[in-house]
Amino acid sequence: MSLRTLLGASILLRITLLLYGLYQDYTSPLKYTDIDYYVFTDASRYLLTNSNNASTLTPYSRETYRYTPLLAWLLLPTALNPQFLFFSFGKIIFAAADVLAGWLIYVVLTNRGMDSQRAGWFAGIWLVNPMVATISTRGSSEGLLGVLVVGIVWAVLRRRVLLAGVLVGLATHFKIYPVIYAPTVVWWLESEGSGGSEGESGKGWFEKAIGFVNRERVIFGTWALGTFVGLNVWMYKLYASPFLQHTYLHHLSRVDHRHNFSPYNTLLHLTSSPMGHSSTPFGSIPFLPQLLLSGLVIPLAFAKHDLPVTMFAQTFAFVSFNKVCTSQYFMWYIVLLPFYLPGSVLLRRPWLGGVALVLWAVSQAVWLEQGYELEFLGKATFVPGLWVASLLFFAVNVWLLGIIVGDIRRRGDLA
Amino acid sequence: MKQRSTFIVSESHGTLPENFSLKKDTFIIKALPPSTVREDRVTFSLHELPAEIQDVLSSCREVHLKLTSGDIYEFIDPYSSRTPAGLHVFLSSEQGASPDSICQLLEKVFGINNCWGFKSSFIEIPGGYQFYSPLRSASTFVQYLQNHLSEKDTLRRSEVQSLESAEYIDVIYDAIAQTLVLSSVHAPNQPKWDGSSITSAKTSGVELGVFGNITPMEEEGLTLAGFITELGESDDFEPTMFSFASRHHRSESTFSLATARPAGLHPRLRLSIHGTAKPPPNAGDECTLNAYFTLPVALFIDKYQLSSDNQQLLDSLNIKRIKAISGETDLEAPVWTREKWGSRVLVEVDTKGGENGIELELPLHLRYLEPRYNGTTTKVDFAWPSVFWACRSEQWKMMAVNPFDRLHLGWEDLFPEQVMYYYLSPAPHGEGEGAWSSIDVPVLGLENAEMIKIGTVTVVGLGFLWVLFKIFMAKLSSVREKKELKRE
Repeated sequence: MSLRTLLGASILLRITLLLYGLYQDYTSPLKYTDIDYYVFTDASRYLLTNSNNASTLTPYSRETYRYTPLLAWLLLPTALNPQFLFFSFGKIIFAAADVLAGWLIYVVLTNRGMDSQRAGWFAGIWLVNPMVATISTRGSSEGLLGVLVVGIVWAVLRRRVLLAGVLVGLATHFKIYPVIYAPTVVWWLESEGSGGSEGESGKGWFEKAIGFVNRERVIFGTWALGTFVGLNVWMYKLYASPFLQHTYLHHLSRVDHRHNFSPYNTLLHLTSSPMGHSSTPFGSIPFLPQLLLSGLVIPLAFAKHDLPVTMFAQTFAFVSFNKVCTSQYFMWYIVLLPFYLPGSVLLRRPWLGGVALVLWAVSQAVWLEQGYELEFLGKATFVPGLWVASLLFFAVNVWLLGIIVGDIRRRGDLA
Repeated sequence: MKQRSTFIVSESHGTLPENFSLKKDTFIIKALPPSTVREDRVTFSLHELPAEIQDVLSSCREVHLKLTSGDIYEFIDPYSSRTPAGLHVFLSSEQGASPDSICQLLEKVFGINNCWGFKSSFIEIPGGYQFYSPLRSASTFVQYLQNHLSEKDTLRRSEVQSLESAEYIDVIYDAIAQTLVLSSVHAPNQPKWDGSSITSAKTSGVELGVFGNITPMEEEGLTLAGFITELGESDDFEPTMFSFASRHHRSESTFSLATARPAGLHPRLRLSIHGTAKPPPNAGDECTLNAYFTLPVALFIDKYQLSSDNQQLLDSLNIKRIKAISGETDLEAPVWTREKWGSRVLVEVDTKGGENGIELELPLHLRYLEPRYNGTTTKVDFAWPSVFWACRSEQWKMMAVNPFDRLHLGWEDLFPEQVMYYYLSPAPHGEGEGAWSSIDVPVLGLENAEMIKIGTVTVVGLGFLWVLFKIFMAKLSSVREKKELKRE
């Protein structure tokens, strides 16, 4: 697919969905706009009220605002009047970020030598994906993360290390999880010439350690850490402990007892209640396999071989092993899928790809059906229904992750 | 101790003296129309109360406690005010003091189990604190009172026993007066009073009044006519007639509450106003129709979802606006992390197009309830709201002189003082449940606890090992490939 057609189609798709959303919001009590979007825009409005009245409203005055204040600042125009003109500003930003991310995917793919036709098809997985377009036009901020993450890939591959560092710092400030990309980038940025194991085998650990520290790694690390710390210090100065509590600490201490796709969901629901309390720290154990895999083992094993695919595998592991998981989390790895898919075993053996897709979708559908029975019919499907369904979905994800990590080095020619 | 008993009869012949007889210190009821409402009001001095009650009251300035049965009954002015069924406590504390042991006392006296501590369970409202429990019966209260009476005091014991059938019981403590007033109102015909008597003990005086409502002499006012007497003091009935402005009135309309089925985790309450939803005649133009809910902590409304920004949704629900929500409003926390009793919600009903009744829908959400043994559902009880017209009145200053006035019903702080209330009567579709509803809430069965722990850990552990194994195999084969490359 040519880039022009693709971008045209993806923009048209988003404009259509935006307009449809306006129509549905105007005519139906059931809103197209995502609940989180009201949270963001309320937070922005509080900011504006604040500057007018000198009262003490902050974005965190809005319950369940658990994001960086940068997001509320970015969406400040949504608080302007007339509302019918400005309210959707944030959705436009998100959708534009989406399209930009897709364009960057295309750029990265062609830079790696893929012909533009083929790159168009793979970028299309993100660009004309109805799920992606719907999520961002409903006002979910995942598109911003998407563009930051693909931006990291682009910057690192172009050896724009400083920019990559800033992006990793910014993305981590935004949503914490992109911190897992830092070790990957660091590992990947080896000194030119020292690549491969030749010549290294004779060196002692000291020389190896010295050799590990190179200019690019230092620049990347400094800017990543600097951006992250700088933004946090700045925000902390402005909003103090509510910022720290809602943006970060909440995610460490949160107990996601309400049903979601995570395999831990039923366990946490059980053990967070006084009657089901357990002396085993089930609330923190899940971090261990998750961070080991996504933050350490996968980057160390594959980063030097293929950066974007490693990032895809990491993200897939992170989401699959996460304590909480909703369909928005799938966006985190779908944005990196176009880097893995070309030449992967899922395409080399189409039947395997087909089975994987069907299993991924069906196990999700099984869970959704059980979730529907609980949420809307009031049936107690916690056990076995939702529990088994989430473990099943986890098993499918882990099976797929096994295929992906086994495949990273075997992937065929990109072109 | 002082007692005041009042009978309000709706038929004019009810107040005729020949229906009663008076013998020294005993008043005997020979025949009363079945539609009679009876109120008994007993005033205690602080020192007459048990020490544990005195102890709690010593840190309170005012306490207003209301226990409403939720039974369906026909009400008569001036006893027409209604709170949602259950136990309501409003209190204001003395400066710097906090009645920390009030929860133990409430648990002992009323048998409630959702009060964990004054600071943690009471919610703050303008001018004080509020607590609520969806308590259905006064039996523990009656038991508690009887434990403080001697076995021989059969007269008092039977009076106390009758509290169990009261429509509502009010307990009012006032630190300035140093008195505690216990009053109970019995609805018509329940039980029949014929043949019963009221006797004054040596230690207490008893005032009696039997009245009927007659055509009010003033608009917005009530006029009662009948007789009064004081046992032991006078031996005759003294004809009386008096008028007063009343804060509370009855409205002719009725309402009912239903829950859309299946309720799921987002129950929708349907409040139906039957008949024409028009302000009461003579009430002036400045009237609003309101529903006041006391929601137990398991249920909550999302104030953002129902904010006035979302006019579309409010219109479709026939809600004019949510006037107030206070108390436990967290949007996601499970019940077991919450200690407050719940939340109070005042909804203004949209009366547009209400010629043939109104259907209002209030979308609620459920918190996760504690996992439990035995069964995978548990019932959450909640009371029907108080539904009333609130109308601006010019006579509000006179309301204070009403000997039957009732205050601290839960919503007064949300209205200006110069307002009169006109209450709609609950009219359930079925029998037996009264002004109560309940919904079945799915819960996680604790029987499965071990299986969940072992199963989850096993599956996640195996998955983790599987991925590690695949990564190891991938590295291994790449190392082999490199060696082979070198050999070549």
